[in-house]
Amino acid sequence: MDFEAAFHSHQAPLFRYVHRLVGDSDLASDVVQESFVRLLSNPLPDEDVRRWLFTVATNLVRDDARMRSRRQRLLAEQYDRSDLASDPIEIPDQVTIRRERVKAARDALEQLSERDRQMLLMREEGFRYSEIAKVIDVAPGSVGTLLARALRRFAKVVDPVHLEDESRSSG
Amino acid sequence: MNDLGGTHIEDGALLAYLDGELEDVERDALEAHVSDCSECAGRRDELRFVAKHVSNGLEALDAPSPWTELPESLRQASLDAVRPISSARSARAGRAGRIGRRSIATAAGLFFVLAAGAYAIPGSPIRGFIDNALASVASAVGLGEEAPVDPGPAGVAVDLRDGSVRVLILGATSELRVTVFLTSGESALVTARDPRFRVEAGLLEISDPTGELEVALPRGAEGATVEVDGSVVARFENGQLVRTPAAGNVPAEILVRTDG
Repeated sequence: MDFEAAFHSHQAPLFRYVHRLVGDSDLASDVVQESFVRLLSNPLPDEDVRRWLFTVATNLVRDDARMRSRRQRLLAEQYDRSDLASDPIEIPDQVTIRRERVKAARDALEQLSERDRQMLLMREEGFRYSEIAKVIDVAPGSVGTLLARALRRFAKVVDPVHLEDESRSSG
Repeated sequence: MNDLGGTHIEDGALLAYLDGELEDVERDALEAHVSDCSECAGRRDELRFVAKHVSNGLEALDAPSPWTELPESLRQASLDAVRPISSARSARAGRAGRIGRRSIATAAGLFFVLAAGAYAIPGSPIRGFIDNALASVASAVGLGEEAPVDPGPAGVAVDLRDGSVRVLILGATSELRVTVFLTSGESALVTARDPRFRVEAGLLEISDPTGELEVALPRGAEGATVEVDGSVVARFENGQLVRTPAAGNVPAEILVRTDG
């Protein structure tokens, strides 16, 4: 396993996954770096690295009490955080719209169970159902059902009116 | 997979279809059903839309990754990381070996020039001496067969999980001697010869080690065990490292150092 190549291949998706999960860049950065540090002491075949990293990162977020409390605190104050700082060229209305989108997406994620949140985010990263089942520790046959339910719940919170209209017209 | 032959298809199967997760047979059955069932076709399209909507919604949360290059902390960690101790030792031995051989070769060359005159004299008794000397020099500089290089032991570290660590040794033989001791480090460290390691947080498994195997357990751990083929041979708890009675029943020799 080429460690530097593994970092370049996996750091961006892993950061995106963890950042979506925890809602904070600094915390996500810590988790990603810690995951790669642990990879150093566990050399793996290239084909196993991605799932292993996501498993470690998921466990770090789930199991680390310090991280959980920090995550809760960050989410409570998230709308004042620098992650949402406005782009200098954005006009105020755009900033407001963007903040609303972020808030809606965050609210939608937060009303899911931790397990459903992780499953949904792993699906977004293109993991196979069998891989999701292993990382999240659920029966492989239940992944589709759990994901479909999580998707619907997320979509209803993030934009219920728009979703209903579009869904009606697409159906 | 579920309910493809029944009245309607569950959302889970429809999503699995959209995600390309179905086997050919399942996919064909689903498509056949959906072509005749407007309700399932409607839910399939709805799910497709919902999934796209979710992806768009999640993108609002994204922040750019902070790295374009390997961060220095990780680069340094990768350099310091668990690499087989054998490779470091071999490198050092190799450098020392090259310097030594070069010096010997230089000396041999000088010797050869000085002796050439005497060697050129037919019947000179010094010929035999020089022949022997050259053979010795050739052997010393390694022109003959290379002796096999001992790869030496390899080491691996494992972090604690919830303050504890387990070290599992599999495939022990009477040729194996395990020494367990405490260290002030924060990780457990094992060095072994010709081993296969498997590492998880809080767990280190060593398969088929031979010769000397050293297990350093972190003094700050809340608990730690060393197991040989399923038997706990050493245990660290309440600040005490002890050799268990089971240590006498495994094929390997178990030494537990409590002197620090």
